[in-house]
Amino acid sequence: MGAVDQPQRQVKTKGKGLRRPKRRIGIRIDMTPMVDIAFLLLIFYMVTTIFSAPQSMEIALPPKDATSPIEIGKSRILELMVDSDDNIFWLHSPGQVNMELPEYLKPSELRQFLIKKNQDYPGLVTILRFDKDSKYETMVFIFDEIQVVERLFKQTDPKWSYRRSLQDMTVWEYQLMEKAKAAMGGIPKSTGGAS
Amino acid sequence: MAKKPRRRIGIAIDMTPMVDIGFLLLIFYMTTTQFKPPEREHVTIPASHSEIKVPDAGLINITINKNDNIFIEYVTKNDSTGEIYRESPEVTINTLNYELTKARLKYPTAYILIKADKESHYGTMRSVMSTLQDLKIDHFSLMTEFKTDPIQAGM
Repeated sequence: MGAVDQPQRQVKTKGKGLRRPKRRIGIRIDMTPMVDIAFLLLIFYMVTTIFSAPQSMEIALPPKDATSPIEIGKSRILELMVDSDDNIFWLHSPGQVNMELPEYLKPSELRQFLIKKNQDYPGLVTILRFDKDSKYETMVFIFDEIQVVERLFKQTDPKWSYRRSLQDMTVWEYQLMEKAKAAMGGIPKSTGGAS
Repeated sequence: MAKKPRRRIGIAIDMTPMVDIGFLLLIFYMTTTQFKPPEREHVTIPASHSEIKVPDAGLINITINKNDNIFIEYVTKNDSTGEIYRESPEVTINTLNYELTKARLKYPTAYILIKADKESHYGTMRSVMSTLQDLKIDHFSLMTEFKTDPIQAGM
């Protein structure tokens, strides 16, 4: 543990002007236990600390009573639907072209798709419909992609905002998606889901 | 025959710099650390590109675990004694409205944060959002993890 070094005192002759040398005691303390404890504490704090504070995604919903029906031309409505297996389908009938069946969309292509559609059809309204059994992750994924697209458009036009609406799935959409799935002969595997 | 005495080399390393650094790190972690609040439900949150930080205080937390169970968590403070209570009643969709109203009466300024597991279902989320709409809470946040892949413009 602790040890005290007592150096040999040199006896000097007393004389005027000569100061007596200060007595020096060298103290040596074994610091190993202290350092051990310090490192233990260090490891403890390193393990328990959280660095990445979670982020949050802000959602604004329209008030329930204020949803007065707004007439939007069919050509400006892009429907995105998600079935119970998290497959994304889209439906958009601009002008004379009438899309009868929704088309499957790969999650990785969603962003480019939304950018393209919004560039080609200014003032596009995206209607989102999710199946009740689809995953929450898919919803966050689509919301996030929409926010990313909005952010990209805001770089050129700060006033730009993505027009979207969250609505319920009806029997009609289910039937359309079933037909689409039958027409394409099944969803390509390992592409479903957000990731 | 006398054995040759083994030669021992005494190595002395000055550990002072290491200990210095060690203590510096220790002080750093001690001052910056924030303990994880006790979690009742383990929730794996989804990722997004959103960069808005979750505020530290002033929140009513709605937690949805992967089995679609709903919990509300909030901290209340007794003004006279300064005591802090953490309340976390388990709720169902039918009692969510009541429990949320109760929480908001105690904590009128609180912001709603939804912390839902990514495996939970949209149906639950829909009911929660519908309840929030009923309570005239139009703005709330979803807790997400930061997604690191870059946003490609591609425009």
